[in-house]
Amino acid sequence: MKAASVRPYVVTWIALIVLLAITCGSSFIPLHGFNLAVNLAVAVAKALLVVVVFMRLFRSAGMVIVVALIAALDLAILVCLTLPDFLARGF
Amino acid sequence: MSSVVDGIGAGIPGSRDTRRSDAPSSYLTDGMSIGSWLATHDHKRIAILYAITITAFFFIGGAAATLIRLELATPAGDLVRAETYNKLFTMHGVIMVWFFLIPSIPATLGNFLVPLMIGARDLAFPRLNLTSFYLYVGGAVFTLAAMIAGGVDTGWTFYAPFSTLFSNTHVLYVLAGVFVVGFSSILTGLNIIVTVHKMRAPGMTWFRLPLFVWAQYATSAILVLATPVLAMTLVLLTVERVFGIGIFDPALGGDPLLFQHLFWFYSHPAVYIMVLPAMGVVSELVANGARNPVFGYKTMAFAIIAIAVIGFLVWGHHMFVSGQSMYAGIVFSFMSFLVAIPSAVKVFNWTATLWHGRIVYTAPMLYALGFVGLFTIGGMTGLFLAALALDVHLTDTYFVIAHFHYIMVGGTVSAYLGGVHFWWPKITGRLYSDRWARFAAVLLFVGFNFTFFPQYLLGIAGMPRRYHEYPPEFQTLNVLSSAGALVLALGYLLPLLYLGWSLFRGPRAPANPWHATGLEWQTTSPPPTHNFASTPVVTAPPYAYVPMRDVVDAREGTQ
Amino acid sequence: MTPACASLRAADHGPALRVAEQFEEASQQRAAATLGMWIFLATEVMFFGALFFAYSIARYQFPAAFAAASRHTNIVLGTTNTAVLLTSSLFMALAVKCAEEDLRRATVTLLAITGLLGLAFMGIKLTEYALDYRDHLVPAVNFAFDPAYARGALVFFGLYFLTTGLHLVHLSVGIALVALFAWRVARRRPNALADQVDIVGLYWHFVDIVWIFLYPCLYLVSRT
Repeated sequence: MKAASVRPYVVTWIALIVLLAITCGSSFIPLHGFNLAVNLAVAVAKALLVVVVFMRLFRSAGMVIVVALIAALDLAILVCLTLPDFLARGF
Repeated sequence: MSSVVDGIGAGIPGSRDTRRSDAPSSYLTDGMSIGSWLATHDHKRIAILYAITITAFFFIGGAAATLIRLELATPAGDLVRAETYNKLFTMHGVIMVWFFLIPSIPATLGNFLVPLMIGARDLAFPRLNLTSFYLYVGGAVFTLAAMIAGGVDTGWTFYAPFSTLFSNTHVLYVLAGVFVVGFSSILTGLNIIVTVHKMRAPGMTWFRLPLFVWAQYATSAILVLATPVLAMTLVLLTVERVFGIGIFDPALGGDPLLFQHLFWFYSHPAVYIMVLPAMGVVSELVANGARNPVFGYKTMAFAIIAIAVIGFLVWGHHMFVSGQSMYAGIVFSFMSFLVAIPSAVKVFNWTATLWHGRIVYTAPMLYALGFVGLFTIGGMTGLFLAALALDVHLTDTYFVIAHFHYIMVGGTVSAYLGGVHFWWPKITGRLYSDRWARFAAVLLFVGFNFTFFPQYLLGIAGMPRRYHEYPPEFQTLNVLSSAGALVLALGYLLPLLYLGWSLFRGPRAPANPWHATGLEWQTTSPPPTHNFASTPVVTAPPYAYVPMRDVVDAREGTQ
Repeated sequence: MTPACASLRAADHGPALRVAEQFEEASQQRAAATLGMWIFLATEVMFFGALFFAYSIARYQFPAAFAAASRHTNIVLGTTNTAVLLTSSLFMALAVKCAEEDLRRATVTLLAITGLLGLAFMGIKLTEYALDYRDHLVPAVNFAFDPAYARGALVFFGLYFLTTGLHLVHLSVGIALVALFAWRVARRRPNALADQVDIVGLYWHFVDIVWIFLYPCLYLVSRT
């Protein structure tokens, strides 16, 4: 197997480990609200790397990409239509 | 071409040959042992396994309803204790929703017809299909165990903290049962989606699909996306009930509205799981009964998709008085009005399909027309409930009960029965007595309206739901409702009799007794195991009916 | 192709993968199976998504208690486990590639490493559970916490055991599948099984993604 075809996977893995180090390390720095934002952003980034590179989403059939997007959208609907209730309860 | 014979009577010589040895080979005769049925991979046999099981559950749920209506015939709570009454309406709801309505059309008619209608040999994953069935059975066993052990009294909605802290009935059994049956429906939905995408015959493009397939497809998308949230909600209920983790219980710092949001996020789309397949059936029946192509085919297809999509955005209308933020309520109310639009479009289009048609009042057509009328009433009362201020008055009253029974029973059950009658010759290879069938359909329509229309009036007058006793001034309407229920029950029992009779004595059905369009009618009745002798190639649009031309043949499938 | 690979090729066992009778051809079967797995993963997204959402609401209700409770999780083991699972995903992805290139020994080896890393994750997690038990952090068993945060901490640890427990169940299924396919590929041409290995890979990566989100939710609420 050619080294060239292996490289994207290894590079992605290195990126994932680096992101892990960032999210773990930054937790020890008191950034208050930003800690959550950083952790969430890093988690999303890691997940996207796994989905795009390891799971090869964008090299899959069109319908597969649609399924992935719809799943994300449905979860977003759950969160975006429920969270406002909790946040606006006090109004 | 043989005609339907009314019971015992003269028929065309030779057309009533019912000897088993003469039975043509088909999926029914391909293996006659119990084992060949219980271990089958054939979607048609699995559909029949489901049909038998859901029918049994329908009558169990119906028995609970009978006791409810008997109790409510008098104002005093004198038939059963309050606790028992709570168990009755809970089991009625749990069984009817999860063990009858949700699998009814998708797992029986859908399983049987989707591969046939698209020209495929089977579903994409036949073994997964069988697994779905056994998951359904497993969930059913848990739920029956709960019933036998004494029942559950939380209501089918399992609201916390009553279900997690205070109810001392067998909640966990039922939660387990519903959890397991949820996976059955998820896998069925997955199967149908992949099948419709990947297994269509050559020439069967998306816009040549029958609307029944579109409806199954949209239903499957909802099954796949909504049911897992229910599964997790039931897990969280269990964790709170067993381990005392305060997720929903306010005394422990939890939020009961979180339960309601998670529960209704599934349970509202669930009602579209229950009604969309029925709409698919009705499109087939109305087109055939009017001998007209469905009016506005593409619009109908897009309306199905629109209902499925918008149906995910409205769940908060079950929570208007729960303490939910008023602003959330406004959003959900608005979305609920929106979802009525594609539903109304469908009603208009079915009506327009009748225009300039050659209408034949066979039993399937009667059920379909009944659906259109009853769904319209149920749907409009849904709009009343979607209006925030009105809902404050009407919520948790018999108005709500009447509303959803108009849709679920007047709608879905009518469509299910209509579909069973329409495709009965295809599924069993037998013709039944259309006279008895039409009688049952009318009986059902009359009984249904007498049962549930008074409940709208009771609701407006303020009678609350889930109460086993009520003030005496509500008695007249309650007695009317209970009397109607008796007629309704008769309407449900009759098909068991004449359809059962047809299995043994009915004339053999030709391939296309209704002269219907659709690939399922291009193969024998009943079909061979592999559905088609050779893979069909599709060149025509769906619903190629021409009303003025089919003058003589139209009534030949009937009496 | 090296002589080693050529000799492996020559010694293949059995015919190419049989096409099931409901399908017309292999490409249809492969497309159906792949779409089916992605749809299944979509259901898992909603399943775990609802759980993460419940967690978010609980954390919103108990911000201080969640922070206090989270500090009692073992960040060394948790971070190590995350690295283990991320690495296992790498080996899984490489195994899929090798299966597509028909390299039997490489595929089997990579699948085996993936499975072993999964087992390592499990071992570390169970060790953590033992430590949690020692520290009186198991709800309904021996839970004891600072009374100022006890209610919220109970919710935190209830969710901790629920989420990691569900994750372990899914991981076990993944390990079983990886082991099964390592065995199957050892007995047959990997190329015939490449589609199925790919599908197992999709599932494995999803289990990894669940942990990617679990890790900050459980271990990094507040470390300062």
